Amino acid sequence: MTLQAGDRHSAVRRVLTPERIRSITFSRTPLGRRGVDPDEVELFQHRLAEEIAAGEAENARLRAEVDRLRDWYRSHGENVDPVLLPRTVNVEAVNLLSEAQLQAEAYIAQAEAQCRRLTGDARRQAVALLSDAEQRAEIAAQEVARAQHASPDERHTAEVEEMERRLAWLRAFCHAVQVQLHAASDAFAQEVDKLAQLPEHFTQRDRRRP
Amino acid sequence: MPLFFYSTLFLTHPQLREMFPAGMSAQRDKLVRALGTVVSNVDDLDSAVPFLQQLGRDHRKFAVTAEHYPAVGQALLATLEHFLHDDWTPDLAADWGAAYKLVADVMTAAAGEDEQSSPPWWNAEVLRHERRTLDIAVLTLRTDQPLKWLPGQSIAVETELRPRVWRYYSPATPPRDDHLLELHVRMVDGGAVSSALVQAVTAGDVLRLGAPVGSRLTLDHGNDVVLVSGGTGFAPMKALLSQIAQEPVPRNAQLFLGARTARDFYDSPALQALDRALPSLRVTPVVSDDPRFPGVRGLAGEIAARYGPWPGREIYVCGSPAMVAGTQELFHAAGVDAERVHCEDFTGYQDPTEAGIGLLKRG
Repeated sequence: MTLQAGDRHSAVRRVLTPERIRSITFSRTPLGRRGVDPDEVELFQHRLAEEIAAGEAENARLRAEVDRLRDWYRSHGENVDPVLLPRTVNVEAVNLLSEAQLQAEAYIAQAEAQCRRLTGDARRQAVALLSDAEQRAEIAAQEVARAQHASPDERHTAEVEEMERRLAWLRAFCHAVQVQLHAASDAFAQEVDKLAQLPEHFTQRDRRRP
Repeated sequence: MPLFFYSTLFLTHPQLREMFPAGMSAQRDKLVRALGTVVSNVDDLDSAVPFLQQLGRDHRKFAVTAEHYPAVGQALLATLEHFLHDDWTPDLAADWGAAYKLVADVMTAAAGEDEQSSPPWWNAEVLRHERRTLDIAVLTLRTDQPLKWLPGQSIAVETELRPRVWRYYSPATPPRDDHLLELHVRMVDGGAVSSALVQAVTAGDVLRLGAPVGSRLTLDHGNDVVLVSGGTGFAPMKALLSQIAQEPVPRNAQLFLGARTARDFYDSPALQALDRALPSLRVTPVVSDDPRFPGVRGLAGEIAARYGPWPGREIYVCGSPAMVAGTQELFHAAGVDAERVHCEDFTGYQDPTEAGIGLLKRG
């Protein structure tokens, strides 16, 4: 197929391959009008075709090299695929996401502060209860000891027994307080856990036990 | 600016969101500050290299891989572009891009090297969970793979109950052939990880452990030692004493064991065992908040400094940040050279990333 050099009004722009350049035919000028040397034109056509062919070969070689490098980077875990990296992000979307994140954090911070206050209170109460119980147990123990020292005779046996009963009760009470506090603080922790938990579908995805 | 950075990162790469905890206020500054500091120090990158390598290794436990780095770099550049507006030129973009690439290369290379010798994290099954007091638990764990640490070092811990939130704890045992290790955890009011570890975790649960970090509380000399602990700050001291008990050359050790009340001495059997194993060990229990306590009353650091100045001895301090700071001051006031007082910059309370940034700023 040949291309007329004067075919410049053709609607479809055709790719100028070396082969096309070589095979272009120029219409001859009418006799008597000045024109260029047809041999020189042909020579130039061939030079041009050669240059373009060389350029194309070079292009292909470089493209292959780029592909090879991209494969190498891919296989070494580096992302060089430009399509995966949208160059610009929508600033409004960024700000919206930022605002949502801050909102969520405000809720979390509030829950944590509440939790800190409650556990602090609970701890102080627990310590007060325990030390109070301890003190009472100590006093009771001292009373028992005093009773035993002061009156070893039988009239006071009932009193001593009563004291011992109270001591045993106080020991049990101390233990019960401790058990109760453990249970209460565990139950409390579970409530706090609920506060801190993310929506179900989010946490499900997050479980990453390998 | 960090907020914009993370939002950009998550919008362009939504799959990265779940690598971060729900609340990110604390997390937010870390990455960008580390990046910003490093990138602005890029003229003197040599001094930043060890920090970057450590950062790269540390990030393995967050399941960060080489593919994640370009996404972060891109979000960083987008953030800078947004804030610099007209000042953002192609030249500047190229400079920042190149600088970030250098940083990412150092980090990924260090992480890749680390891959040869250790896993990104260790899974550790809870074998025993003992609630020793109202707010202290002793956990016995077994790692799925051998994990080596030096007594006094700290290990980052994550529980599935608080995904993607890591806290540092110092094991109370030296490494063992049976892969067992012991953690002492005190519940911090409102503390996400500590409350889960004390109250919710039970035997059979699996925790994740990061690679050991820290060098301030390790034994790198042959001198006698004075150990001062508050609460669960006893954990690294117990590990150090176990190490001393195994050493061929005996050395003297004096332990000041601090607690609020006598009830808070949560590890008495271990103390008795150490006492038997180490004839040179002297233990002084010190109670701060219990007027009926028959023994020594006050702050452990106060008593230890008063018994000073401990010539020729190295002093190890571990406890709450307030206790550590107070004890450091007391020893300083007692004329003890600061170099002899060993303490982690808030061991178990601070991310080494932060410490690294501090280092860079000073450097």
